[in-house]
Amino acid sequence: MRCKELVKLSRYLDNELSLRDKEDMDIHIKTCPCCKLEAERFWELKKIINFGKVRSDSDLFWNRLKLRIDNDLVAAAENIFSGINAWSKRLIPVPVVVAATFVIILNIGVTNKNLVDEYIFGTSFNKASNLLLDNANTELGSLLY
Amino acid sequence: MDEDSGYIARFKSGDLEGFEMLVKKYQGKALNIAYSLTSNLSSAQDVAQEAFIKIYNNLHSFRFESKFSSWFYRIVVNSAYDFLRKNKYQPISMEDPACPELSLIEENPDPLAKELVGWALSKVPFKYRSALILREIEGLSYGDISRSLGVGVGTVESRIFRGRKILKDILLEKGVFKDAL
Repeated sequence: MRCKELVKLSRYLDNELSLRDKEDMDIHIKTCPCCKLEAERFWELKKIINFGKVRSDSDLFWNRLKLRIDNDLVAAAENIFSGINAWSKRLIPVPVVVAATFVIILNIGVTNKNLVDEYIFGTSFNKASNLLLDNANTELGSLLY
Repeated sequence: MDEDSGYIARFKSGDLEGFEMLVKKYQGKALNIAYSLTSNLSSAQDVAQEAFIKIYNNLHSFRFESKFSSWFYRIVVNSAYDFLRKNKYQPISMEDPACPELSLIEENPDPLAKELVGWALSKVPFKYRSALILREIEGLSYGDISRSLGVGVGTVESRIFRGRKILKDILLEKGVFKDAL
């Protein structure tokens, strides 16, 4: 049967209980077979869980880390430049589009001007009449002189 | 100002040697935790290096609201978690010829038992395992583990208890405790 005091066992083994609680648990474990067995197993576990310490050359570790930091910095700088390059490639069509837009606007302007002329003066009529008047003036002039 | 704060202040003022001192002070702890969580020296090296890279990248924004060590343990545990998730890691062997610069100071006289415990520990869910490792390998108090993992002390207590129980059940099933008890 599971004892309700079992949950305190980890704190007890890790010296995380208050002195009063620890003394109570000392007494309880002596009288409770469930907690006693679990405490013994946990103690055994604490002994075998220790894998040993990793031994490393601190200078070698640092040199490797430093190299990685430097490489990361270079890579970050390259990323910034490649980002700028990518953007600059994307920006190449911009002047072309601006120029094309400008030409279109000018054309629309010219067209609009013709339309206005046509609306006010009637361009095709004016051109024909001007041409006739010019011819007539020329012929008249040659006759006079 | 404690030693760590001094190193961090030096680093923040542009002196890389401050960071170097910090690395040299904490690399052993990082490797021990990483090794206990991955059961492999080469993986431990990768996890520890990754953790220090994260620390390097974020140390400028460290505001001394908590102890550096708590922050450090959290980053190492998170790096190990990320590593295991990315690599879908299966512990292969404690021996690792690919990482000659690291070695173990053996404390467990029975290599077979050590391998079995390593294997059993890898079967314990990560959240229980990490709390257990911080307690058993680093000897942190429940309060320190609570600050390092960002959970309450009650949660730490229950995670350590659950971790031990799961580990014990696995080892019981494998007959490790048969003779001892």
